[in-house]
Amino acid sequence: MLAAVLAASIGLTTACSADSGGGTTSTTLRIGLGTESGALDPHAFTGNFLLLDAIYEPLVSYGEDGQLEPGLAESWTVTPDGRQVSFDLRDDVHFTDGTPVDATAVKWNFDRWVGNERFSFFRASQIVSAVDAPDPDTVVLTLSEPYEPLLQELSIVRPVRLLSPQSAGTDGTFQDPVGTGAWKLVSNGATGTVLERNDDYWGPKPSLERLEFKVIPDSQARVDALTNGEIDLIGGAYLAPITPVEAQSLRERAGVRLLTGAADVSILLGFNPEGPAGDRAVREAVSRAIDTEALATALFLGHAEPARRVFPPNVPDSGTNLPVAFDRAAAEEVLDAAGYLREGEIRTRDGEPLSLRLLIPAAPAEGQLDPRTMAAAIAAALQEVGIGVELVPVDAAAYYDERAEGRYDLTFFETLGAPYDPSSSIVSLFTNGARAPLWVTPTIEDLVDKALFAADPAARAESYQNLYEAVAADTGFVPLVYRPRLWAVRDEVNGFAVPPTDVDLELTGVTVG
Amino acid sequence: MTAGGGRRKIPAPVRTALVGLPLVGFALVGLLAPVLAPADPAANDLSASLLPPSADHLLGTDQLGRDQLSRLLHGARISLTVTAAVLVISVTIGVLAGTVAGYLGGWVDRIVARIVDMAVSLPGMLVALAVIGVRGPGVENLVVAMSLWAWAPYARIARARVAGLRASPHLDALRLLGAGPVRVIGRHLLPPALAPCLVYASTDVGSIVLGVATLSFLGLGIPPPQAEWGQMLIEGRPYLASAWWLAYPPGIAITAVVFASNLLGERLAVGDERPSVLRWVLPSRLRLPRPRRPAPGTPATVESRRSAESRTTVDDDVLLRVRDLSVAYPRDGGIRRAVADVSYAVRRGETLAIVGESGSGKTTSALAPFGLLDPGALVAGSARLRTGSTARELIGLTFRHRRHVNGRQVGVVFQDSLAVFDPLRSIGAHVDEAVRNAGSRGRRAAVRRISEDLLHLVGLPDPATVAGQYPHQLSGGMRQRVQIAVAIAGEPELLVADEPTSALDVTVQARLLDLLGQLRDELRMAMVVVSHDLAVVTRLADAVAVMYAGRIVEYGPLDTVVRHPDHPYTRGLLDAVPRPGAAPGTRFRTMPGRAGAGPDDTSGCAFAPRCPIAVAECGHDQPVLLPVGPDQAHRSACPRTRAAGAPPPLLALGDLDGG
Amino acid sequence: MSVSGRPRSVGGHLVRWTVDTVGVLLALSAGTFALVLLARGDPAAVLAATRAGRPATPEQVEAVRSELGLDAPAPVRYLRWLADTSTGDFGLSLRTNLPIGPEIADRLTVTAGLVAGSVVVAVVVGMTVGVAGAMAGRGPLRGVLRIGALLATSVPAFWLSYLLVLLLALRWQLVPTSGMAGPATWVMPMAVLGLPAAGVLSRVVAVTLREAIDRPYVLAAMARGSGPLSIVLRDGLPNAAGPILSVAGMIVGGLLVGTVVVEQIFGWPGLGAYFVHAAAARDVPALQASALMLGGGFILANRLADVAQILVDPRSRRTSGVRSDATSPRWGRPGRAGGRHPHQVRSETG
Repeated sequence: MLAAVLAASIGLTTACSADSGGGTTSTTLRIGLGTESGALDPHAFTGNFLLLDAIYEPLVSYGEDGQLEPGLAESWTVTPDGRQVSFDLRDDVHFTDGTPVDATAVKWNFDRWVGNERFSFFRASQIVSAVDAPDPDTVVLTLSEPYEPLLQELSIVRPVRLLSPQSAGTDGTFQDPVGTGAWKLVSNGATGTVLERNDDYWGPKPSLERLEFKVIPDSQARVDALTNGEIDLIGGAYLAPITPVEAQSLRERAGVRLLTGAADVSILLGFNPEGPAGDRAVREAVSRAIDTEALATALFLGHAEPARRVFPPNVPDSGTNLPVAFDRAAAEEVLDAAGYLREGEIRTRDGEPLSLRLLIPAAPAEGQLDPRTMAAAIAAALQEVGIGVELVPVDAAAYYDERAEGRYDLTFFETLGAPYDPSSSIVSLFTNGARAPLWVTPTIEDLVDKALFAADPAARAESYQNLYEAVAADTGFVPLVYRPRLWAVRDEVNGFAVPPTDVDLELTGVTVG
Repeated sequence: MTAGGGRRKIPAPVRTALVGLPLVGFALVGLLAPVLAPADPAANDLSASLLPPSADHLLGTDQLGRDQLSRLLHGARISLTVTAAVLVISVTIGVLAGTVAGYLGGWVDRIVARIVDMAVSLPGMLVALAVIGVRGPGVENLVVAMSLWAWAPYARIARARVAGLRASPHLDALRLLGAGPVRVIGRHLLPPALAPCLVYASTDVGSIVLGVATLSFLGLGIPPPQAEWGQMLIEGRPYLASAWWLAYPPGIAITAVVFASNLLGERLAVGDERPSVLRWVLPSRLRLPRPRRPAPGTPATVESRRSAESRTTVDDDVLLRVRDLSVAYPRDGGIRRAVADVSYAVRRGETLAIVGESGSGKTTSALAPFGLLDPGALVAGSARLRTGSTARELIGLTFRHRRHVNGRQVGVVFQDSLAVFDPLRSIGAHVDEAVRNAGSRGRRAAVRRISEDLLHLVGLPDPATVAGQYPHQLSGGMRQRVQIAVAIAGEPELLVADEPTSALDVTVQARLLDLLGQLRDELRMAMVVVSHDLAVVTRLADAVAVMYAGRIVEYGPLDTVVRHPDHPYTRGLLDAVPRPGAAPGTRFRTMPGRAGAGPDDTSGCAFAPRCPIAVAECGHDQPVLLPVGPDQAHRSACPRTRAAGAPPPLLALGDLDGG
Repeated sequence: MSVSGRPRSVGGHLVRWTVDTVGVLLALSAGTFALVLLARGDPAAVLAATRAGRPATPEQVEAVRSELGLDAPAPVRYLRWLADTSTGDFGLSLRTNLPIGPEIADRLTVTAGLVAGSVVVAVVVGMTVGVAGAMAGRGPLRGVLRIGALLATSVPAFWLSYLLVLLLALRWQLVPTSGMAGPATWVMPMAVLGLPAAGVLSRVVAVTLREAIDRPYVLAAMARGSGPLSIVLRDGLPNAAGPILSVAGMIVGGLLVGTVVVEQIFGWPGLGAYFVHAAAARDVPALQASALMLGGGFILANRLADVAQILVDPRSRRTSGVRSDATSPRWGRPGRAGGRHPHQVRSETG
């Protein structure tokens, strides 16, 4: 009976083999998707980054290494006092429902988030005091104070991109995802999303006609589907993440290519100054006890570099490398000197054992390395120098609460990645306004402000460097690794390169077969 | 296909212990893991990551360089700990709750029963998931979550067991003696309630291990860095094709433990399976080995065989000839014969009665040729049934061939008329089936009409109504008639009736016997009637075979045997009976001494201990059936009476015929 | 059927059954509602944060709290929730701020399809193997079938999925690795769910059927000239139906629970996956709703199996007379007489 079922399904599969594409030229690219995309409203927080990126466009685009390029704005000028920016809009661009992209439309979009309570975390939303449309081709933003990072922030995915005003309901609620991008939406559901080429696109049209995103929640299943020819592309942090181990196995499989991009996110180990980690000596010892080189090799199988800065080198204004800290003997010395004496397994001082709580989320975030593995490795490393570590896995929902409440001595931090860095991250890492900062002192907060509001690029670079050095002097954190950016494609796919950021999907020159 | 008499099989308790061995092994490994593990399961060695199995690391290392074997052993320990904790908690709560509720009865019992029913109805895994999802992962939460649903089945089992015991006189006596409830429950109710619970627990072990692994898969189980099998499986999954030593051992370990648990649980609950009544496989023509007693091979034996053989070629009228039939059953590791060297013949239209005490082997001798015995029976010998011009050997027939005999040429009426009907099928369904098996294909209505005719034929009023009724709705007498209807559906040449009237009322008996006789005459059937009832025998039989302890001790035409019984046993049976006007249903006289011996229990005559004329030789010499006097038809197995010549007539046939 | 053994008509049985079922469902609803009380964290804060896209201000949290009616005492909230749920209003998901009802409806069809297909696999394979096992002689076949069935129930579902994917999809390229498009993608999920259930079913069928045919009426049927298959189907199975139906009910329940794992691995957007995500995100309203659906399905499956047993036996159809359990010595309702087969409750863990 089972044999009959199997035979039937073989028959069905071969009949459906036209679906599997591959081998012959195709104008459809099948892409894996880790979770279903919510509604594709550019001004809400539910849609998938890359789908939003494909449908909607910003005024300013983020290019390689943080270079800003014209998007829907052809050019822009900033007044000398830095308090006004005017954009010259690109001519003859329309939304896919025919509405022209003019200053009115841009103002309608900006009014949805500028000064809006819901976006108070987004600095630009608070800094912009007025949006004007003096003529159909020009939009002028007035700022309450000069804010250099504004332009970069206008290149992110949400909420700054443009939705057609006609597509919304009469009361302004989002209805249809109508944008100006190279792709437009065909369908969006629990099993996947389909986009097709916008033939009226103003820019270089993609060679592909259709993008089929298939939802496959399990990362190993995605790798299997790629190997099996059911999909053509996976990767990226927000699309269909690949773990380092899976990347390794992909290297060995025929028919697929593994692509790595320059890292843009770093993973850091942070301390809670209230508690045993408040003691500088402890922080020193921790930082010296961890062999980040070995960690990167073992856990990331050579796909990651050990970190030596707050931000990976590719991020603008990331400063210079800190010296390699790993020196187990030195770690022991520091602890001895500070009075943590080693009698048994764990050092004690005044009868108190030196034990640190390492808080981690119980389940790994999508496609990321299981933090429990890294935690176990770090715990073992610290135990070697006599620091006791208690691993406290907490389910993901409670994790951020506990972190905000400071119920940890050690925990992991990550920077946000392009195009948000470095300005967004230093706010959330080094200022008290953030919910769970990495390391904050009054000096540091000062330096953050200076960096954010620096007058010119040179001053800015210097301010950032000062900031990094100050934090390093406090041993306020331990840089661990730069998180690898991993993508994988089938051999039939030509012209695909790792996009500049993980929220982009550059598919213009891509062909299949 | 089965063991012969010589080779001893492994006794059942030992086999159960063997099945339980892997679980014991699991427990031991779990307990001794810290000792057995070659390395610390948490010890990282990043330079030694992902090494294949070697002398240093028997099962290789994982990504962090931890020794996989040590992790596996410690994983056993964790599984064992959680399982033990959950079992202890749930068995304790469950058994206590169930026992107390079962003992107290009344509203307490009803409430507890409802709670238990509800708890069992709830999906355990979901409850565990929800609780952990809300409280967070961790060993304590895990144990609590799993115990929350695990206790209910034990409560149910214990309660059912105790409720059954509650009404026992034993308990009443205890209460009268003033035993307090605590003592009664603790010493007399808990132990028997515990036994079936432990059986269930043996399978629960597997469920719990599997449950913990599944919870780990969902991220809600035992948190790392503790080595737990489910966790190891997840970590090993990306390496299925490369570092196989990470992915396969934990999966195999889980499967092995759960499998062992299921195997043990099934074995304890079900016990040793008896062979199936229906067998696809050809039932082997079992050759019985030499029986335990020394084979005599006396000239008399040989001679009787030869003379019997010569008879075959002459006597064409014989419908069924059974020769040297022996039936044995496996017992205590060996086999034991119930019937030995039985031979009889039935001619067309003739009725043979096989009589004897219970345990004499008469039913077995009658049913053996048709394969209607207990599935464990081993049959040897020959039984040839005449079909047309040839004779067919019945012993060792496959099912497929037997179908052409049973239900067509041969019909059988069984003893316990309620048990031989399927309680879920109507009377009509039974008869229809017999009609169809007899060859009448056709539409349901036509078949049903034939069935109703048959029911009418056996004297049932209103056959249509009867056909729609169920076996439990009829009286015993009516059911016997139905059996007869079923048996004659194929117009058989031979009807075998096993104690057809034993469970019936006296008046009903008489009518039933009339019916049998009438049908026999009308359909010209031969009959084999097994009975211990004298009236039955005298009413119907043409020939009689008297059996004792598995052997025929006397054989001959009815008149002769009844008037001139030769064998002391036969004489004893008939002795006290002849009171004029003895009613039908009068049994043969019971004699002093015990019956129930088997044919192989002694090397001599089995009746000797009860025999009034026994001498020393009777205990040694195997009796043989030999003719009494010049009449070859009348044979007896007692050498002493044969030698003494024809015995005096006992009484007139008419005196027995009670009317 | 209670242990007291009072005779009862079919109607009486059904009334009692309905009362009991409603009772259990109410208990389930109370239990899932109690999840709210047990949960750490503040649902109002979580929902407010979802709406804002960031941690919410206290005013926002309070606004949400009054909107959700979280101020009322627990029993009032329970009753309100009960009333809402029975009209299909399951509230808003804390994670997405969207109504749970429509989402659950879609996912219900997915899960129902998966379970239905797995039931077919389980019944077809399980009955075949079970009948064969009951009829097998003393040869190796019986042992093989038994071991195979027990093995199928022993393998963890997620491991079985990995192995099947490796073999069927990757190595032999017979079916796609995951997804829900077309019959080819049904094979593995339904096999992973259905085969262990088939194992359980086959053991129960084999054991109870073997007992059921070890009866005098089977000998009588052989005397009538019936063939082995006919005897098994007509006399054996109906008499073994009691425990088999009971186990079938539990199997369906177990399948429902098993969807939790299978949907994750094969990417089917069903109730099981929804339940797990809700549990992980502590999205309590979603957790309550999906627990109610899954648990309710489980309970109904078991209860339906119970009532089917009553209907199958014609002896219980009589409105008077003694229901004589004594006539069939080994035929008892499972669990009541302590003769419950281990595998009958085992499939709970899926």
